Amino acid sequence: MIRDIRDKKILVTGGTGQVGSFLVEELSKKGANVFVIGRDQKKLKEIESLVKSEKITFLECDLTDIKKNKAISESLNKIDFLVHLSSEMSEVYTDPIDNAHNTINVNINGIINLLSTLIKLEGIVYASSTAVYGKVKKIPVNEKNLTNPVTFYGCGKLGAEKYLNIFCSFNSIPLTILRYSTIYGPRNRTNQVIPAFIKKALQNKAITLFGKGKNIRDFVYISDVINATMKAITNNQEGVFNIATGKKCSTYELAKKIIKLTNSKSKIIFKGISNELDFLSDSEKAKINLKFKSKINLDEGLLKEIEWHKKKA
Amino acid sequence: MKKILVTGAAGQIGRLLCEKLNKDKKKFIGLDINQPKILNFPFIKVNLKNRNNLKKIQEKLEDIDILIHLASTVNSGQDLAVDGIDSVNLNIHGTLNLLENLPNLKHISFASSYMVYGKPKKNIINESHATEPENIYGASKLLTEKILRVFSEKKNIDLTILRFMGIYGIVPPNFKQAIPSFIEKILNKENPIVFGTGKAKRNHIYIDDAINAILTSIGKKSDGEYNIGGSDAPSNLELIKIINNVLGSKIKPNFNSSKNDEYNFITDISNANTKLRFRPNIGIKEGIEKTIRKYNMLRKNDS
Repeated sequence: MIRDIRDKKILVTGGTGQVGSFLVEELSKKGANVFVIGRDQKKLKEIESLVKSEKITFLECDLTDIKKNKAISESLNKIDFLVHLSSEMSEVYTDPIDNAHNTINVNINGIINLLSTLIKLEGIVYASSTAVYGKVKKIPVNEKNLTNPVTFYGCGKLGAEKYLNIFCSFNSIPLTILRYSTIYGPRNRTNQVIPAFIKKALQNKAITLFGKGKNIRDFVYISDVINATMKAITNNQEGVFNIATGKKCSTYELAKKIIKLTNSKSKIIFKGISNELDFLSDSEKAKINLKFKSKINLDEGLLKEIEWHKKKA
Repeated sequence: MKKILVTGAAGQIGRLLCEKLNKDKKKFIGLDINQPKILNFPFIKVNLKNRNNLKKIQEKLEDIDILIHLASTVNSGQDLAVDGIDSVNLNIHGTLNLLENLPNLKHISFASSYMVYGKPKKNIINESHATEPENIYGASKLLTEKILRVFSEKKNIDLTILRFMGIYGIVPPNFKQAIPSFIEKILNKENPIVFGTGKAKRNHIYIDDAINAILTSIGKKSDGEYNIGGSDAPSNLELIKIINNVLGSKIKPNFNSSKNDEYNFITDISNANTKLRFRPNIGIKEGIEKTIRKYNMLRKNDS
């Protein structure tokens, strides 16, 4: 069954982030009635013009105290569909215990509060992360793999998956969980490896690799992520799906590509050993059930992210 | 010198565990939000949900090197709006509040539950079975496991996760559970109520064995997840037969077909057997006899 999203009231949490902002634009273009919830009206960034032109509605509120805000609760009561992207940040505090409290607050307390106001939902898409897998015995990793997160961030994501599962089965609401791989492309404001390398390369500064740069990663381009998320919203497929390319890239290959694409004079320095884990997603299930396949190859995607960083600088 | 902290010390399992530690002359402190009625061991009354109050008592926790973490919400509902926040606040935030005040911790023994698994995909469930909890209690236990795992790896602490089957033989009885409700009804010469066909089997564990499992986990290298269950896996119909035999009665059950979602739930305890040297000592018949004796004592004292 294909879901028609025209005029549907769709709430996107984390709507100002990288995935959120592109998704909001796409949903709005397809005629959905988009609502975004966020902590700060001043931090709308790319979606500011959409809010100003009243094409989308911005609800300024912290997820953890929605219930106190009557006007916002009332708007939320009418939402038809939830895309929950909130919490793109990983570890923000220096104290690990503070990080753990924070990730649980944002991921679990936040979603529980939000769900209690959404009384006529017909579906949920939850943006999880491959961080839920943590330590894996072999790659590629499919959705049946055990989940042993190695960060509190991964714990928060996994916890939210489990609480959402219970909520959705209790209330008979279809739930799609998307476990995104490392996302890159324009609007990438993280401090992950791709933006970090690009920034170094653009300044001709040395790029440091740990453990000889042999770590394997699976990078998925933002437009592919948006495409997959749109398919999850419209195709109405319940279950857990890895969203990735299924193509491996070592950090050494990545650094070399970025240096070449930026015509940089940066040198690669090898240092110590790496404590990162190799990761590669098996993305067959999304291919079969969501009809999703990544289209953008790494060189093409990196060029676009490089352009974005250049413009921003 | 080892010093143990037992959270949930006023709870049904914690109380008995503390009695045993006391008898064995172990150095320990009990901790709970409620004070036990009979208190003959060192005890701290504090709410784990209150981060500031825990910071205030850090001094008392400084020399703790073993944590037996039993404190938890007990509600196993499915309604997130009702039980969700409470399960997160106590089980997750409460655990974190505790951990940051235990600077010399070397070992954690955490009481988890078979409910982390959800609906069985196999006849016998081992520790690598999928974890898809179907209720909030199971989800909060699973999340606590994961948080404890990340914390213990960061701090180089041994973490023993004990995934308990349903524990019976506890007083006062919880009549929502099968065994206490059957015994109570049959003692009253009433028909016990069986949901569904009553044929689904479970390896219930007797309280003394559960406490033994906790004790076997401390004082040795026992990092990992362990199923802790009984050696017998009776169905509800078999349980009623055993209870009738012990009491010399022949009371038949009444069937209630409103819940037809029945399945066997039998856990593989071989991992605990080989690595913890844990073996349940009390078979189902003996456990039922002991439980009935306890209930009879309770009734005598009440009347």
